[in-house]
Amino acid sequence: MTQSSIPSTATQPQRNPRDPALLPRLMIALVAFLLLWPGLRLSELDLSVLFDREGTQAMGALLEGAWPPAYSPEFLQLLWRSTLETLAIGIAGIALALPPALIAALLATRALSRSALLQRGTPSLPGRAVRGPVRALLVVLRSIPEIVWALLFVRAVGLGPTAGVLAIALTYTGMLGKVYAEIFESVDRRPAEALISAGASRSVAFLYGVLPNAAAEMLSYTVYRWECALRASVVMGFVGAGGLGQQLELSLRMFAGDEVLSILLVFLLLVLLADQLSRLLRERLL
Amino acid sequence: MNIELQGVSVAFTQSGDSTQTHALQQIAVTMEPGEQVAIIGPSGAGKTTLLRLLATALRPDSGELQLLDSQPWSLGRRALQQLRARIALVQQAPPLPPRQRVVTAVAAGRTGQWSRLKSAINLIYPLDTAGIRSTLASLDLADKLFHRCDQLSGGQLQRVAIARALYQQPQILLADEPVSAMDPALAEHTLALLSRAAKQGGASLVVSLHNLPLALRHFPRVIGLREGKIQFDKPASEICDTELEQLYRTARLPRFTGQPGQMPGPFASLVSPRC
Amino acid sequence: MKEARFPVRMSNLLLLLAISGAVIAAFRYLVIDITTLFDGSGLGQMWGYFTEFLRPDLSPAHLKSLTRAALETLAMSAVGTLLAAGLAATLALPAAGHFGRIPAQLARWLFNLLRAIPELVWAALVVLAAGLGPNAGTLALALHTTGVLGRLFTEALENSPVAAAEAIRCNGGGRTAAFLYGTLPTLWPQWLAYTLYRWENNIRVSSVLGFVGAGGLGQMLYIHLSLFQQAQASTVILTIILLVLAVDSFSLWVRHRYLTAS
Repeated sequence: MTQSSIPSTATQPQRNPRDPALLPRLMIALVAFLLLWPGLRLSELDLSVLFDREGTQAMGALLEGAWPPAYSPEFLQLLWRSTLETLAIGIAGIALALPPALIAALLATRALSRSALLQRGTPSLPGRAVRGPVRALLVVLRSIPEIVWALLFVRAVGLGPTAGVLAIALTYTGMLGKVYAEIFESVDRRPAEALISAGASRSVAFLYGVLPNAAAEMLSYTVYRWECALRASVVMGFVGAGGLGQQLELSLRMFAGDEVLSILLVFLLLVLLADQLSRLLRERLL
Repeated sequence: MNIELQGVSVAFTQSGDSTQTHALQQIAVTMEPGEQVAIIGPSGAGKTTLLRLLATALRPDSGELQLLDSQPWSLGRRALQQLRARIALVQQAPPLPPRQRVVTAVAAGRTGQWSRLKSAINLIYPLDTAGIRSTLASLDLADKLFHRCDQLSGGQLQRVAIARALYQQPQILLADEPVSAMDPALAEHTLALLSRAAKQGGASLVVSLHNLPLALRHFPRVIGLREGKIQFDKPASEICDTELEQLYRTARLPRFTGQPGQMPGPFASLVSPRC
Repeated sequence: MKEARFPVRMSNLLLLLAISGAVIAAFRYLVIDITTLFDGSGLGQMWGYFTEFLRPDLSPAHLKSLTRAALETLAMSAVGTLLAAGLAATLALPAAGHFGRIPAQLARWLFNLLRAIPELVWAALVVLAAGLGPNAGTLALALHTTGVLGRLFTEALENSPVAAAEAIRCNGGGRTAAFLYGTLPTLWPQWLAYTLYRWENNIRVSSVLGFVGAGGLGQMLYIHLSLFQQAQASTVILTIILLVLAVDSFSLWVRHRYLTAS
């Protein structure tokens, strides 16, 4: 094109001004590289194993018998019982976690602190001496992966669903307890504060001041956690805590691809149904 | 011939509603390379739609559109992209990402001319900071080179958008209310700069303004748009008071009769009645 | 607030009854197991077992192998999450429809499949193909996390404002440039936040992938527990807690410092 366009306004060549972001960006890149190198060595990352002969042979052996998925009457009966067991573990586990979670939440929450109300915001030292350890306990319960608890309980009480129930109960006490405490602190505090300053006991203040507003959110979160507990119980079954997970581990060990596929399909269906049910319930509640 | 529109119409249909809004009707405009034109008109007249049409951001529903000796909507994707690289549009509320730095925002203007690799490199490490700074310097923004866009005021953001368009070095420069967020002195300065930059490069300049004195002072040719139709297309010196009043007349606002002793009409101070 | 209050409350009551019924049924189904727990010797056994964890083994040799296992677990979680973020970012573009409808459906279906299978199950499968060790754990983690991050990334991409990218295309930029200069600036903080949040979860997961042979602290824990070495196992558990807390704090710090809404 012969038409000219707006020229650059620089009439003399100038030195490029230094980019202040250059140095930090280089530093970040350097640090990332320095961390990545040992990280790759330690994790022994090697994508080629997915494609080499040994790997594909083992996968091949599994996949060979995988289609069609197992559907013999005995296996289906086994599958049905395992599914019911998994459901029962999830429900019982959460049910068992509720009472201690509630108690811990009541102890840990600052929403009912009489001293906070009187001193305008900061809870008193004795109050914190109770709340602190309870909160720390909840954190510890939450930080240990539930499958570790499952393994411990399997060693302690033997294989089977009891270990799963107890593991869920412990871990979820921590999870539910923390979230319940936060929900108590996030709802409107004025009803409870009014009751406390009028001289009501803390339990009355809770039942009439906090609980009505918090109940829906608590239930909603509990339903959401139940769905997670269901998935967790399958994973825990892998280490012997009963249900579909235990069955999956057995079938996998025996390289029974068709059984593995059946169990996986049932698991996916279960998760899907639980997701729908949970969504339905939560819409109802909120 | 730089820009030519014949019988161009654009209509918008509201979703869920079968009525059509005729944003532009039967527009006919011709511009030579290097011309500088202001578009004026009341809100909703179609100024933004017209500019977006000229930028090929919108497709006309009827009529012919020729830009830089091509018909944009009959071009292939690659050719259209190359055509667009020679046309720059400065939008009224510039859509600049808040966390982006000014230097990157301006550099984005030349991505149409760079290879993909060069664009990617410039994202992380701007290569031509000197060129970008001199562009910003003409707009008094050189010190904001490495600042983030969310640290700038509305007027400064508009100037960054203008800087991006200037950095692009286009052959047609379009601007939609580019000085609306600036104080009068800055607005004067910026329009003068736009006009000078376009003249230096021989590029065409089309600017929509709602500040009439500015429009009539800086632009030799003015197009008046009202309800999607061109009311007049004349040299600025030939526009008279009544034409402006007709353009901006609305039934709701009271009309000033301009009789002695009362408030003068809104346009009386701008031009002396010549028709 | 619905007008007809009574019917709504009635169905909520029925719901409550159904839930209570389910809980009771669940316990009855498992009742055999629970009673064996609460008979005399059962509780005593459990108590004895757990008190052995109160004397963790802190010998230098054990601590040394613990450090190595902890670093291995950390590396597994970090590399796995990073790999997943890269894959998810790459696949998010087709999943959001930038390359047509069929690639979008395929990508989304892939994400769902990867997400649905738990990490531990993936680990067991990958161990079959790749053998024992942290490699299997890293790959399994990456596979599952790609599904999770993929969906989150795609949603963020679809919700990001288009005006900036469209303006660049209008001025002659190609689709790549429009994405890099117009969409990415608002997108990457969100993607990074999701990745960090997922890493917090993944450090917990990678400490236990060793249960199926995928290396790290999990493998150590499994071996000690199988050999009934409670004292050594106890130290491993403590290390897991510390590691989880450390990663949680670091992630929180990064998010607060660099990613608070501006």
